[in-house]
Amino acid sequence: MPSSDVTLSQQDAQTILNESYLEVRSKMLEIAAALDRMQSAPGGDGLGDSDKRIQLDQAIEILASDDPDRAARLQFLFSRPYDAQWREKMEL
Amino acid sequence: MDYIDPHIHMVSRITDDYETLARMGCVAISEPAFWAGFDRGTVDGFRDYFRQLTEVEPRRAAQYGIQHYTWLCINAKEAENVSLSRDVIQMIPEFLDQPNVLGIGEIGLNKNTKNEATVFLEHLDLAAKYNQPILIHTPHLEDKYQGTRMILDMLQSDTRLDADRVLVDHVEEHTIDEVLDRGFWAGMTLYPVTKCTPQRAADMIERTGGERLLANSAGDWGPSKPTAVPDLIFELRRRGHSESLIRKVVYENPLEFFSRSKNFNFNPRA
Repeated sequence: MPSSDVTLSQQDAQTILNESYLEVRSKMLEIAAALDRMQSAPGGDGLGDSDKRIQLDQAIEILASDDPDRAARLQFLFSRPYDAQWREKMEL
Repeated sequence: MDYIDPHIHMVSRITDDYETLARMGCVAISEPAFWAGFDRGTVDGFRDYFRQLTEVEPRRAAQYGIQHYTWLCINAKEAENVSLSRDVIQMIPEFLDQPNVLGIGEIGLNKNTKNEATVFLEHLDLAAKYNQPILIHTPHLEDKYQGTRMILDMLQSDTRLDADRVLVDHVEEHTIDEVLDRGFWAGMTLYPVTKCTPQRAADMIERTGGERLLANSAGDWGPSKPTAVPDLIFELRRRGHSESLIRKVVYENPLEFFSRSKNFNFNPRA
């Protein structure tokens, strides 16, 4: 299986940046506005302890990182971890 | 470009959709048995559903020049009723010789429960006994990774099954490598909100090269877009990919995988 730095992409990075800039900008604004909305709502100060809020912060860290495979790493963040003992636990 | 949608639930779609698909270049579809939006209560309810899949939908599709194929099973969402599931599994062989039946599917897991796994294993046994290809549904959201791994574990523990005759559907960025690395076919589902966008599917094609990779709309009664595969074609063309790569994913790969079924008698457009 090719790693993420092996790609059949026909476009250079500058082209992809130019084409996706407005869409990504828009999605980032949606995220920023949603976080503002949570913070300013009643109970917003205590939200930082909730699992979902912590998970969103971890997701933002992944987006901001320089490592590749951000989409896959986000998927793993939002997934239950694999339990290799599932068969024994289910007695199957 | 002629294309094949390897996973679409046309019983839930209106006839106009067949016409639209045909206009977009769709020449064949395969329709896995799935959940109707409610739990069916009797084996005869499934028998009628299988008649719809093997008798009614092929005729409806043929009016628009689309060849209709299907897969039979009881869906994971209904597997909590193990007794009914066993009755349905016992009844399925009545239909396996129908000319448009490609195999067993879409079987899989939903919430990764013991009952779902039990019924999945019994479907695998049915497929092995009748030498049928398999089409697999993987769970959604946070359950997808664990469920996909469980499914792959169960498939590989049955030595009668050939990975080359199994399509694992609804793969995303965190499951596609494991499915392909273990020798299975992988399907990407293009949904408007959940699952995968045409852009992300194009990314995965670029990263893997498109070998043993299929793309489908999984159009059904919920929010979905039956013309999602042409959206992927458009995205790949927009990125400058060759017609040969696009055709491989949306036409040749489905043909190659479906040819694992003795019932697949596709007639290409002249």
